[in-house]
This record gives sequence, structure tokens and C-alpha cells, in this order.
Amino acid sequence: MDSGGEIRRMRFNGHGDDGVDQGPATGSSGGAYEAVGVCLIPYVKEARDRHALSLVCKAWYEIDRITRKSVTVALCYSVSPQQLSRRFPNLESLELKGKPRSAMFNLIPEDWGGFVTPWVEEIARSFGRMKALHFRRMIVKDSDLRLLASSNGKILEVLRLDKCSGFSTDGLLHVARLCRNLKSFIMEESTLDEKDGEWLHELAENIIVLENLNFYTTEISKVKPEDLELIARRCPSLVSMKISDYDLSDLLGFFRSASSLEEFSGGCFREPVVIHDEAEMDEQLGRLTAVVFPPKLCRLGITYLGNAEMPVVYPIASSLKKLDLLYALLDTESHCRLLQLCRNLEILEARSVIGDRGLVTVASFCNGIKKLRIERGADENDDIEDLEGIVTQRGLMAVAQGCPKLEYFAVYVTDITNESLAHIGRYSKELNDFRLVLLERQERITDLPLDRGVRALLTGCHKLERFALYLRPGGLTDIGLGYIGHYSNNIKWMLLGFVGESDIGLLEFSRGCPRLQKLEMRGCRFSERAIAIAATQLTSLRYLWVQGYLASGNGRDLSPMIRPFWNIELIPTRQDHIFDINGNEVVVEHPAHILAYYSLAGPRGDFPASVKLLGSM
Amino acid sequence: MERDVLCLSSKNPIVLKEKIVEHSEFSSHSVGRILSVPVTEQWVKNKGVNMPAQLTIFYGGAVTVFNEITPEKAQAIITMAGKGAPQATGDRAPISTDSTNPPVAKIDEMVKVIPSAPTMISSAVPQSRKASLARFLEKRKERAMSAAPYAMKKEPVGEWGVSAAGSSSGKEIADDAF
Repeated sequence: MDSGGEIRRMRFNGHGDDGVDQGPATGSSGGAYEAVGVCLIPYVKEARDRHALSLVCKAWYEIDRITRKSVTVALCYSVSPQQLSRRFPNLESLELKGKPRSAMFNLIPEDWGGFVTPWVEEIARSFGRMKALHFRRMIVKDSDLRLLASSNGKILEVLRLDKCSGFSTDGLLHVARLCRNLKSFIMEESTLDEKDGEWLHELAENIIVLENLNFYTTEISKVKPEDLELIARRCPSLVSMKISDYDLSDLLGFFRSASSLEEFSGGCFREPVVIHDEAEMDEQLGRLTAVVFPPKLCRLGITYLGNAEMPVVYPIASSLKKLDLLYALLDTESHCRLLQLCRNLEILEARSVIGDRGLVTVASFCNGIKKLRIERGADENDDIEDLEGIVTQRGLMAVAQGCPKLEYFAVYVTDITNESLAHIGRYSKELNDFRLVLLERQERITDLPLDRGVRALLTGCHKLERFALYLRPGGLTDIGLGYIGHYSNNIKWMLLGFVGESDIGLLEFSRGCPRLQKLEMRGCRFSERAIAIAATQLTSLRYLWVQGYLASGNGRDLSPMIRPFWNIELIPTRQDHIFDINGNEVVVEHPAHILAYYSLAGPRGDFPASVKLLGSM
Repeated sequence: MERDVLCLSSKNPIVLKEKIVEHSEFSSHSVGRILSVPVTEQWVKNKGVNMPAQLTIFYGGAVTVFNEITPEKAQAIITMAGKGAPQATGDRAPISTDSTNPPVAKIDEMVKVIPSAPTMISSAVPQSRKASLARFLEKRKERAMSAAPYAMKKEPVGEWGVSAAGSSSGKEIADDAF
């Protein structure tokens, strides 16, 4: 029955869906409130607004409860699947996140947790309307995929396995066979056991509504390009395809058939050919000119795109809205040449080989840029990509002035100044997410500490909600850390690395940050006790992750933060025995982690030996 | 290469580490060691055999590195720091005492005495890379090796002005990503 019917039934007999008597509070005026609620609430989509509405009165709580369609559980252990199904029985869309974010940097043991099994079981049992699922950094087994496909397969439209692990192509086969309505099938950056390419063939045979297929940055290699072409032919709505390393020369048929395609990532160019003569040069050129991208393509990323292959992008450069150069092999000069042509770019991802010169080019030619991510490239002494390939305050200032629409800016820099951060504060007024990492490559930094610059940035960028600052000892004093606390009115997530000098800074910081919900800290010189006290002072904090601090060994100094509903987990210092290039056994120490979070579900039971739980509810 | 470790007070531990150049009389093979540091996190440095005579001081969570320290100077520092600690032996095994706090003033004095410029490096929590990028950079190296296994030498330029590495823009091999 539809949720409208349930609401009408509820109004008639004054009971909520679970039979709870609404009581006299929903008397004569209650009727008016309910009517308003029934009309209004289902149209409110934003989770924060829904939460606010649900607190008004019991009737509105019930309406929200029955009509809530979409929930994000930021940490899968903060609530149990049963609690979720009792509260929101009619969910259609669920996002779950498992392992801490630092798992993306190989800092969390693989078996830490984040199993989807109890969730999939509850979905099969209680969430009959669930049609969109997004699992991020979780462990997914083939049996989970089989259960999901058989229980919700008929209505499932979106399945996103985002940086997940634990499954194989057998699991994908179940999905391909039973989920005929699948529009989005995403497994980007997942680790899976690839047995064959059957699943893609099944997908091609069974599904005609596919819009979005993504196995980018996986090691998938056994699927057949012909099956990709089959999908393109059979699915007229195919808008986005992101694949692993398949030679573009094998995808020509696919590109010809995918007439609606707007986004393509992956593919690659074969190993560079040794060119001996003109015939081979012509062949090389022929390979490049044969690649004709679909007419609407505006989001592109080609793996191993080299300086000589870059011209393949020229015909569509001016219509590109998104360009992914994270896995390209271009030098600084090539970045400049290409970016000059991309006048309509809104999203750019590249490695630091783009250099200051590349960022100046972006500032000059790509003024509409909204999202800019400059990742850390190869910077080891024996493997430097380009001598020009470093980003400093020069690039930052150019981008700030030239790209006023910037909303997201993440950058790894080799050098930095206070002035460049102040520039960002002055010009980047739309900035919502800013992340800065100061690399270890250069010994002397032009201008440290960054207290003034950070303050200027935070006071200027008042829309900032996500903030990361990863420096080095001496990068930010205790006073600077206090500034962060004082001037972070809207920030909800923060990563702080090597900031501050002592507990004083941390305690001052924690007196501010009124909206900080999620805090990650690394390499900071704070004691366990100060961390615990800070956690209790940060009024909105619901999730804390710390690595590299003054540990006591068993977490005993964390006692100030023991409180109800607050789970505290420790991953004590670990040792990995690996072999270095000389064949000598090396013991690598992983410093201890603290992970603490609010949970309605109590301490979890599925933790491995490397994790210790502390405290009590 | 041998490493000697002397670990003093447990409250503000100082670990003085001495690296002797490869032709040390003590040992001819490289040994990986765990440096035991109470209170702060443990870590290992194993950078291979060809390091210059380098002295690293861990103190109060900050790390200072001095290059080109002679063995005699290092020994003098160790002796000075060890004064006041009951078991200052300079043995190879790490020694932990929980009695003396070495006087801070003396440490400052020591630091000023060393002439070479200190290098600040981050502590025991190294900067890590995103797993996806780390994998890509590995693959990039493998491609470079297979395409041009003798990449350190300048590649011979073919008749058509294109180097044997194929799609290079004619730059030095060191700049070729592959």
C-alpha cells in the first residue's frame, strides 16, 4: 500500500503505524497540524530539514517516519539495521559507510569490519521498497549480492559498491541475471576476485535500461569489449561508462554505438610503440584519429594518456565539463597545452605534475571551474615526473583569483605562504570544501607557521563545510589551532595533520567548531587525555578518528570521554613484517588509532583481533 | 651498518641514534631494528646502506636531523646526554630508565653546538598516498621499465627524430613518464 494510504489510516484512528496511541496532544489543533504535515513533509527531501520537522510533534514524526525515502548512515555501526527499519520502514534509498576514511590510504586493517551482511538481511526482510543502495568502504560477499538480487532484484535500480571488497564476479553474475531494472551499476575502486567476464555478458543480454556502468580503477580485465558494445547498442539511455584498462582501439565500436554517452573514463593506450619508420608513425597516427568520441561526451578521463596521444582529446576539449588526468602520463607542458583548450571545464582532477604553470593556465582559461583536485604525484627522488611538476603558493593564488566559482579545492603543495591562503579567503567565496596537504619534499618552507593565512581563509570562506589541513611540525602554532576552532562556524568535517604544538592548542580548538560532526587527526602532538577532553567539548561531534598521538598504550587516559552511546575503539600499534628491496626483513610500525563514535547499537561484536573496544555504554 | 640506541627518561624520552658510514668496523651487513620509545609511538628507519653520517634526535615529539656528524661528535653527544642516567652504557640494546630527566638546558646547549643546519622532518606518522594513486604510480613504473628497460641511458634517436621510447616529445628520458 502506498504511504499516502498509511497516513490517511493513521489520521482516522489517531494511531501511528506501530499502533502507538498519539494521545490527546493530537486533539482539535492536531488535525490541522497533521493536514499540513501530510501535505508538506513528503516534499521535503533534505535530511536535516526532515529531522527538524520530525521534532515538531508526534504526528509529524510519524509522517516523516512513514514517508522518509532516503537515509545516509555515515558509519554503519552507529545504528542497527533493525533500528533503521523500525524507524523508516519505507526507505527506497540507503547509503552506508563502513571503514574509516583513512582506509583509502591503506591505514586500516582489511578485516576491521564494515560487513554489509546484516544490512542486506534486513533489507531482504523488511525493506521491500529499497531500490537504491550505496555501500562505501564495506565488505560485500557474493552471498550478500545473491540475497539482494533475489529479494529486491525486481525493483533494484541503483547498486553502488564504492571502494568495497570481499566479492567476486560470481556475485556480479547474480545481479546481472536478476536485476532487470538496474540503471546504475557501480563498483569503482573495489577489490574483487575476477573469475571471468560472464557477468558483463549477462548484463548486456538482460538489461536495456542501463544508464551508468562503472568499474573504473578495478583490476577487471576479462570482460569482452564486444559486450561493452552490446550494452551500448541495447541501452539507448547509456550516459556514463567508466571502465578499467582496455585499449581504446578495441572500443571504437563501443563509441560508435553509445550515442547518448556523456561520460567516459578508463580505457587506455597500448604500450608505446617503438617507431622505426614512417609506416609505423602513420599507424600510430591512424590509431589516434580512429578514436571518435560520441557527440555529447563532456566528461572524460583516459588512463595512460601520453604527450603524443593527447591530440585525441582536442576535438572535444572545448565541450569538456569534466577532465580526469589523475591516471594520465602528461608532463607539465602538455597539461598547459590541453587546458588552454578546455574553456568550459567545471571539474578538473590531476596530479601535481600539472605544476604552478598548469594552475596558472587553469586560472587564465578555465574560469568556470567549480571543482579542482590536485593529487600527490610521484615525488620520490628517483621517480620525479617533471621538474616543473610542483604546486606552490603561486599556483594557489592564481587559481583563487582566476576561478571565483570554485566550490571544492583539494591540493598537495610543495611550498606555501600565508598570503596565498589569505588570497583564497579573499577571492574564493563559494568555497565549500578546502583541503591542503604540505608535502615533505621540500625542507624549507617559504612562510611558516600559517596562523595568519589560515585565519584569513576561514574568515573569508564563510560557506566552508569541509576542511583539511595537513602540515608538519611548526606548520601551525597553538594559536593558529585556536583560530581554526574560533573561525569554523559552519565546518562539519575536518582533517588536521601535524598542526598545533601541544594540548593547549587542542583544548582551545575544541572550545569552538560549533558544528563539527566528524574530526580526523593525524600526527598531532596531543595527549590521550587532551583528546578525550576535546571530544567532550566539541558539542556536535559524533565521530572521531586519531592516529599518531601521545599514546599510553592501552588507552587508559581516554577515560574522560567515556559516556553513554559513545563507542571507543582502539587499534593498538601494529607491526607489519615486510621485505625491503635488499631482501632484508623490515618491521614497519603502524602507530595506534583511536576511533570513537556515537552509536544507538551498542559496541559492535564483529571486530577482529587487531581492534580493542574500550569503555562502556 | 650498526645502530646504537640509548633511551633515557620515560617521561620525555630522548633517543639518540648514530649512523656510522657503511665501512663500519662493527658490522658489514644492514640490520633492521625497532627503536623502542616509551610513551610516543615506535617506528623504524631503514633507508638502505648508502646514508651519510647522520644524527637524528627525537625530543618531545619533534625530530631534528643533522647531516655529516663525525663518530666522535656523536659519541660526545651520547656521553653528554647520558650523564645523570644510571645505566648509560652505549650498548646496542635499547635501555629504558625511568629515573632521570636530562636537564633541558643541556640539550639546548647541545643542539646549538652542532653547526650543520637542522632538517625538520615529520615524526613517526609518514605521509601516505591514496591507494588508487599508489597502484597507478606502480603500474607507471612497470610500463616505463618494460618500454625502456635501460632508461637511465639516453635513448638513441631514430631516423625520424623520434626516440626509441616511442611517444616521447623528444625530451630527456628522465622526463619520460614511460
